[in-house]
Formats: sequence, C-alpha cells, structure tokens
Amino acid sequence: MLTLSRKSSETIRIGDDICITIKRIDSDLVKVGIEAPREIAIYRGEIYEKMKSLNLQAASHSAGGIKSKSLEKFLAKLFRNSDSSAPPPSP
Amino acid sequence: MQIQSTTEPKKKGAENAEVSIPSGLIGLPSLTRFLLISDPEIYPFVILRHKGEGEMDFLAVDPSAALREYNLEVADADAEELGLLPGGQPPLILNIAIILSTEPPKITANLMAPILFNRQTGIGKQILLENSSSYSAEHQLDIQVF
Repeated sequence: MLTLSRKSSETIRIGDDICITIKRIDSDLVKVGIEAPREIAIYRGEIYEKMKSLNLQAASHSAGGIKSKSLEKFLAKLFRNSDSSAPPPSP
Repeated sequence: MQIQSTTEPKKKGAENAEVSIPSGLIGLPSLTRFLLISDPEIYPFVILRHKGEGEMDFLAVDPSAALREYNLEVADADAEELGLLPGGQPPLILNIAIILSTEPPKITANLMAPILFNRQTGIGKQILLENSSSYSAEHQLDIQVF
C-alpha cells in the first residue's frame, strides 16, 4: 500500500483519469473528493465489502446445504407448504 | 433518477431469458452472463444462473412482492448507462436473496443494491442506491405473504 500525506486541498492522481482531492480535514473526519471516469464505481469500503460478502453468500447457498440443483426444489416445496388459501398478489 | 418498484405481471409458464451484467455483481466482476429463470411456481423468486466457468445459481426476488413501497434513487450515470429514461419503459428490478435457513425458511434480500435490467436490451447492473441507507442489505422476507 502506498501511503501519502496530504494537506487540505491537496490532490492525489491515480493513473491519468483519477484524481483525489482532500477537501476538508476535521479532527476525526476527512472529506475526500474523487474524480473518476463514470464507468469506475466508487464505494465506501465497508459498503463494498458488505455487498461483496452478501453476493458471495448468495452464490454458495451454504445454509441448509442447498446446492444449485436443489434450489428450485426448495422453493417449490416452500410454496407448497405455505398457506394456499392466501390470495395471490394482484397483477 | 427516481424509480418505483411495480408488481410484475404473473407469467403463465416458466421462462428463461439470457441477460448480461457487464460490470458483474458488486465484488464479483467476472460474473457477467446469466440465464434469468422465471417460473410462476416460485414467484416472486427467480433464479439467476451464472453461465460460464463454474455454473452457480443466485436466488433473487421481485421486491414488489416483499415491500409495499420501494423507492429507488438511482444515480443519473447509472440510469444513462442502462438506457433508462424518465417516463420510459421501467426496468426489471431484482434483489439478490440469501437463504439463511431452510427449517424454518428464513430468506433475506439485499435492498440496498438491487439489480436493474433494461427490458429491451437485457443488460443489467447491480446498483448501490443513492438512498441505500433507507434500506437494509439483509431485509428479512415474510414468506407467509407470498
């Protein structure tokens, strides 16, 4: 990891297309401006990790040992077991 | 751009559609080609089957069946990338779902980052909503309602 020290309003360039500007420094909070091509997604780190983690969890279906082929069977069973007298959602 | 989630018309039979998510799922950029498996037997759930190395299934849910109101604030850049125009054909909205347990069935949906598909092009993107803090990434679905 490259570590740089910057003062307020100083910048960091990443490649030719990304520019980071330190907008404001408070005692425990830094406001950071990011300019990047629109095709590059920018996330707060902990949000990115959370989304990635949930996507990975969704793929493995480790809960209850569900594997790909059993997924449809599980869902079909889910609906057979639910209250069939409940009205279907209106279109 | 504001998008409302509206109820999907219930399909008559199972339908498969080839869709693509060029940016991949968040954190999983290589997963770009999918088969969207819609079966009225499992509505409001659908299966996104990843095609390619290592076939894997993702469970997704139509949020209109889970929530009375789901207001999506989508960044203009994301809407433009998908070709979604205000007043144009609304996108297909799906949320990735996780099965926490099977007995009893506990399923959560990620409402912070739905996948939006342009219905005409079949191209989609998983988008972190501008108003994502209004929603949970692990919203417990009320199975009884389905």
